[in-house]
Parts: sequence; structure tokens; C-alpha cells
Amino acid sequence: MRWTTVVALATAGTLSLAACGGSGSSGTNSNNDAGASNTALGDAYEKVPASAGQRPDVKGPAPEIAGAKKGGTLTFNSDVTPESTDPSTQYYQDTAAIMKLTTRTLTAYRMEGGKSVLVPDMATDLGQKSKDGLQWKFTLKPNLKYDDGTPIKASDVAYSIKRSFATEELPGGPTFQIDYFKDGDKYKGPWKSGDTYSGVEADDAKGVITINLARKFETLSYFASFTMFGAIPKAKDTKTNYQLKWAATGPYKVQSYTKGSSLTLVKNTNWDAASDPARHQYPDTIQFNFGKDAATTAKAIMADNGIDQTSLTYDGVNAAVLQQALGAKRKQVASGPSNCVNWNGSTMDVNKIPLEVRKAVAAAWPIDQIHQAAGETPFDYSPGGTIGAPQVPGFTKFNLPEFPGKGQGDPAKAKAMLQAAGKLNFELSYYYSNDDEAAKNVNKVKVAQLTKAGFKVKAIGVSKTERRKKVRDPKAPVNLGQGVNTGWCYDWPQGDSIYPPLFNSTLPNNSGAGNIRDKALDKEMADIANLPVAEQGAKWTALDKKILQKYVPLVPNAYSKGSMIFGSKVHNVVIDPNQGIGDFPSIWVG
Amino acid sequence: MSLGAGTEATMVADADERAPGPAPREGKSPTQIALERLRKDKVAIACLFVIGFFVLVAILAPVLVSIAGVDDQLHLDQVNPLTGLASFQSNADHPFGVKARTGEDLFYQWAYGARPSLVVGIAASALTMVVGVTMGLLAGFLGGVVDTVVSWIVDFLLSLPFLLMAIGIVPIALQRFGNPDSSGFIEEGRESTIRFIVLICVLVLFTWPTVARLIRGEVLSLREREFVQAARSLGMPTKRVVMRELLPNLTGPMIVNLTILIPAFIATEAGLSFLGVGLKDPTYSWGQTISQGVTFFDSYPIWMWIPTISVSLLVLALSLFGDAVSDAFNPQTRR
Repeated sequence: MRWTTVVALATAGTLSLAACGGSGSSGTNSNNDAGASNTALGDAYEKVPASAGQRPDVKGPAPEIAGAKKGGTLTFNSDVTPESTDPSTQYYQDTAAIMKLTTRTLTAYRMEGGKSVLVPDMATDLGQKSKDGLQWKFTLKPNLKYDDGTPIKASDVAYSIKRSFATEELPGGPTFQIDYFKDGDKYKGPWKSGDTYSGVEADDAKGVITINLARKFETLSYFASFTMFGAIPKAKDTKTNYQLKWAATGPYKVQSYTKGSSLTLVKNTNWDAASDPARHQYPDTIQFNFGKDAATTAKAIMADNGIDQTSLTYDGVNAAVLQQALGAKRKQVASGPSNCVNWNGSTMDVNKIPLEVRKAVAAAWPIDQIHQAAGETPFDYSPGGTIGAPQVPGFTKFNLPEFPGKGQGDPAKAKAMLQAAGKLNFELSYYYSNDDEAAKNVNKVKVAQLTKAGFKVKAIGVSKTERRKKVRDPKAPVNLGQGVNTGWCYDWPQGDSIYPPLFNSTLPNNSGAGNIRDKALDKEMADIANLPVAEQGAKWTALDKKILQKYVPLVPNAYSKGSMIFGSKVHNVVIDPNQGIGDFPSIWVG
Repeated sequence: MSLGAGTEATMVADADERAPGPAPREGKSPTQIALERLRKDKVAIACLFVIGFFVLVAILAPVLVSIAGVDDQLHLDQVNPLTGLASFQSNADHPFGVKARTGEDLFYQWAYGARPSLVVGIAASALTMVVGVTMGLLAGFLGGVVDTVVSWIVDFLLSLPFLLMAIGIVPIALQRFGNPDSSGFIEEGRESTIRFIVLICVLVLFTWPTVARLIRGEVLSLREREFVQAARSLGMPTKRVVMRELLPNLTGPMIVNLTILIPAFIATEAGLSFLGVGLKDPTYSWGQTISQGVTFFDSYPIWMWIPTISVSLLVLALSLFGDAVSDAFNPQTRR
């Protein structure tokens, strides 16, 4: 999943383009650009039990939140303007969170304490898989309705999925369906290839959606929580204009939407609370204002007057209110783990930098100084150590001695390592954005530390836009900080959404992390991905350790966090660790 | 009375002085009169001191920073990693505070930041005057085709949007003259030198037309005056007419223009650097410091205040001084 188009890395004053996601072979993955993150829920962060991943037996309605009041208007102000709000292309943190209010999906995440678990939403369970794992069936709950009262049919869900194949008309969405679904590479969506597609079939009488796969997709239940697995009535589809007015199936419907400036949601009376285990319907109106200056918004919310008492923002904790957020106004901040892990530009090309040198880089890497120079605060990150995120079910957090995930780095030790390897003055070259204050600061820190450690550093300053292109250029003549260089945000909490998109040998050069070309590793990853979901976590943990030790492709810096600040009359703001942003349907005002 | 340098203006000035005052003055050159007037102008003298102070800061920057004991290194330990800010605004070690997050000393950046402001201001305005006056003289005196061509170029350049062109030209020049290697690497020092030169060129390119137009107008009226006509009818070569008859009479407008251009350029340099198209590290400039300090204005005001006050004070002093010079050179002025 991509971070909110641009998550305001508040403190840095820089906006970090976030990113994640992407599939193993198509290379659509994106990277986050400046590295943003958020505050941990204490211990809960590191001890999410494996069993919390999926709960196929949960029924609606969602349990009442103690003390929650109905009514009122909730106002979101954000600097970030959502990309397309078309359900078929939704791939950003902010749009995902907003659309959870209006659009029900086959499965959905729901917050249970600090944990985020996958529960059935429109479907009766998390999908029934055939013996060979190549066919999945989802059955719709009875009597589901759109906001205009017409019933939701299985074929509407199938239509919505088929629409997501129309990547030419509706670009920018996830592409897993193209990789995994049967004939996914041939089908070009209902407008080009017609309505009949062997990968997705629907039986309206029984309310069953059948998905036929080209290869096993054990984590399809998670993928089914993307809004492309919602329902779109074919008759009302306005193609590329559908994003301006979409049919609602969730607790709220669109009253008015002006792209780029505001969105007003009101209660959807045809939403059936009893069938929905993941959503609530507390405020009467939910107002979104986009393109609002982050610092102004933050100051207003902290000042807590009038309408700002019922306002909130998902732009993070702006530097302008940092002192307040750390002190007197601590209660107006919600912070929690996000689905992103940061390595702050430490990806090393394993084909260009010898192993001993990579180890020396890891020993010298100035993690704490980078955080400080980038202006990252405890609202943005907590100490790291692994490639995967610790809240992935079954994953056990660990710290290898050579990857502490925090600290100042040891240039003296690195220099000794370089000397021992006879590689003193090894040249490290990388691109940095020279039109971004935070990136410039980070670069100064890196140059100082790496030079001290006996490297020759060649830092190439380019503009932000140019850098985004250069780090993906397969032929770029540099050896550090290429590919998915800042960090990775998983699309769903399981290793197949983390490791293959980063380390598969079929990835084009500089599209993953480290350019590892190892067929044995490919096979190992494929084997783990084909195990039942519940068994995968432990295996991914072992693989994580192995990749770090054997290849040293990057230096894990931190686990990211998501943070929101809100007025004193906004309640129950909890960060969903699988989304890195608040769970909007559980928020109430009063 | 011989028709020497600046005689015409002297006669006018003398006539003016003579009317109210009883004691007629001996013949003085307009420059002498102007200097005399300036000397009596308290504001002008005060401005001179301010300007002199900043010029000294710029020249003595290395001495000043060594007296203050500051350097250009990172001092990460000086700031609180949680908030990214130093716990002090100013102390003995860092009189003007340190930058947030990296802890770089701000006194160092302020002292060295005075240099580009003054160098850009003076170099760019001097160049502008040279180009502008030459073109203005040519167009005005020669007339005909030359005038048409120059006037056309002037109009063309004046019609270009300055800010847009400035933002566009810098990266192009960097690519063209930076000699980047295959990876696009340009050495840091080289890049900032190019930026410096490009900045000056851009300022000159977009300002000389204004000067040229003004000078052309002056020349058009001067060339019909009797003393020019006389010089010509006596068979004086064109070069001599221009150098000996016209130029001296243009001294006034030229000096006035120069004193207006310098502060304008300093302000523009700060503005462009603020926007990120001007100077960049490792060349420090006040505009850059201001743009970085803005974010922390609430919690760490000294960062933005010092360069803002400095640039404002310098520009104000230069402008007031320019006014004083203009007044001193203008024979019509009465105070």
C-alpha cells in the first residue's frame, strides 16, 4: 500500500512520499521517499499474537464502543489531496481509510484493542479455497443494499473486480490480480475485453463470487479487503468519472465531492449495521477538507477552539505543534505502528559492493543521526532491526548484533573492517534530493559518518523528481540507495507482501532492494508463500534473518508509525497497524 | 569658459545656488557639489556606517568566525534529538544559535552569508551599468538601425517573465556548464560557483534593458543640446563626443541607478535563494538561511530574525543612501 499520497512528514517539513505495495513480478511497487512514521502502542506493538491475523467466524454488528455518542459533525483537514477515489484503483493510505466509510468489501480489517484483524465484511467468511488452492469462493451476506436501496448482487462485486483490470483507463491501482488471477495478463477490463472473464465469475442466485487463479494465492483473503472487492452497479458506472460520485455500501454516502478540495459524507440509511462487523456509524456528517496547510491545521487543532474541537488530521504531528504534542497536549495525539519499515537509503547493490564492505557500511550506518537530521520524532518511528514489520502475524521481532536498528553507528569499527578487507577508500555513490531540506541534512550526516569510516563518498545531488526516476534506473552508475531505498510498506500483513517484491531475482535491476540474484532464494520464498497463512510467519522470520546475514542488502533503521492529532471532542482515534492511519469508522464526537 | 567636462550641469547648478544665497560660489564640478551635499546629510552618513559594517563583516568573515570560535561542522549533540531544537537561542559558543536537527552554527553562516549578498549586489549592478549604459549610448547617439535593434531587444527582454526565466535557466546552465560525469555528479564547489555566476548573469540579463532605456532617453535629449552640436560642428570624432561630452553628463543618473540597483539585487538574491533557485550549499546566503529558519520561527526565532534583520537593514541603508546620492546629484533638489 502506498502511503497517503504524500504523508506530511510533519517535522521534517518535508512530505514523504510513501509507498508500498507492488507485486512480485510486475514491478509496480513503490517506495517511500523521505521516510515517515509514528508512535508505538507500547508493548502491544511488538507482541501481536499470530492468531490475531484472521478471524473468519466474526459476525456483525461491530461491538459498541464504550461511551460512544451518536451525532455531530467530524471534520478532517489534510494537506494531502487524494489521488483517484475510484474504488478500483485505490492504493493509498488516505483514500483507503476514507473509502472504508463508504465502501464495503468482501473482507475488512477491524480494530480489536491495538490489533487489526481481518474479518468477513460483505462475504460470510474469508473465502473458501479449493483443494488445489486455485479456486476461491466468496458468498455474499443476504440483503445487502446500496445507498439507494437496490440490492447488491454478486455480479456487481465481480464487475468491480473486472474493472480493476482496466489499467489503461484507470491506472495506478494494485496489480496483484493481474499476476495471480487466471488469464490476468490477457484480460483488459470490461470495456476492452468484454464482461466475460474466466478469472472472476458470479452467481447472482446464490450470491457467490468465484475467483480462478493462475497460481496459488494463500493471502487472497487479505487482498479481498481492497476496495476493488467492493460492489459497483454496472448501470451506474460512469467509467473515469465514477470517482466523483460512487455508489455507497458502507455506513456513509457521498453528499458532495469536489475533487481536490472537499468531500462531505452523510449517513447511509440503507446500511445494515447487523451485517457489518468492522464499521460504526456515529457522527451524522463527516467532512473532509483537502489541501489545507499542515502547520495551520495542526496549530488550530491544538488551540482547540470551536470547530477545531471536533476536527482531526492524518498529516502526522507537525513540527509546529511538536512541543505541545510531547507535553501538555499529549492526549490529543494518537500514534501507532504502521505497515512500513524504514531503511533510509541504505539499500546496497550486492553486485557492486563486496560483502565485507556491505558489512562495514552496516557497522557505520548513523541511524540515530539520520532520524535527527530528517526531523523524525517518536511520532514517526520506533527502533527497527528487521525487514519485516513486527506486527505481521507469526513474525517474531529480533535484533541481530550487527543490525541494532538504533544507535549512532561505529565508524572506527567500520574502518577496521574495511582495512581488514583491504578496501579502504571504497567509493560509495548515491543520489540525494538537493531541493529538500531534510534530505540535504540527512546527506550531510551520511557523508560525515561514512567518510569518517574510511569510505570515499560520492553524493550526487539531484532534484526530488529526478531522484525518483534515477533510483529506479536499472543502469544508474551508483551503488548505494537504489531501488526501494527508503523503506517498504506491506499491502497486507504477511511475508509474501514483503520479501518477494524486494528480493525476487526476476525483478528488474533497481526495482527491489539490493538486486539479489539468487534462484535458491526465489524458490525458498515461493515455498513459504504457498504454505497456509497461519504457518508462514515463523518461516518468514527465519528468512528475514537469513537475508540480512547472508546478503546484507540493507540496514534496517526503524519501524514506522502513523500519527494523528485531534480536537478535544474527538474520541477513539486508534491507528490501524495494518494501514498506518486511523480507523475512521470507529471515531465519534461529543 | 571652456566647454569642459560637465560644464553644462555646473552652470545649471550654479545658477540654482546663486539665486537664494548671497555669496556666489567658485566653479565646482557637480561631483564635488554632490559630495559636499552628501557630507552634510546625516542619514547618508548613518547609512554609510551600516553599509561599511556589513562590508567589514563580509571581508573579515574568516577572522570573525575564528574569534567566535565557530565552524561549519555538524554538531548533532547541540540539539535535542526529540524536538530537533537546541535548548538555547544564543550562548557563548554559538552567539547566533545553531540550526535545528544538524546543529550547524548560525553565526558562521551569517558571517559568510554577507559575502554573496554584497558580491552579487555590487558585481551584478556594475555589470548591469556597463552593459546598460553602453547599449543606451549606442542606441541613443547613433539612432537609426542600431536604435531600432537595441530597442527591440530591450522590449523583448522586458517582456520575459523574470522569475520564471530565473527558475528555468539555473538547471539548464548547470547541465551545460557543470560538466557532470556519467552519473550526473557535479562537484559541490563547482556547482555553487556555477550557480553564483548564473545568478549574476540572470540578474544582469534582465536588468540592463531598464538601464539602457533610461540612458537612451537621456542621450536623445543631450545630443540635441548646443554643446554637443558645437562639438560636432567643430568636427570632434564621435568617440570623443561620447566620451567627453555625453558620458560626464550621465554620471548623475548612472550613480543614482547604481545605488538603486545594488539593494534591489541583494533583495532579489535573497528572494531567489529563498525560493531555492539562487545560491546553495556550500555557499551560504542569508536568503537560504531565512528560508530554512521559517519552519522554526515559532520555537526558534533567532534563526530567521538575524538574517532577515541583516538583509533588511543592508537594503534599507543602501536604498536611503541611494536616495541621498540621487538628491545630491540632482540640481533641482532643495532640502
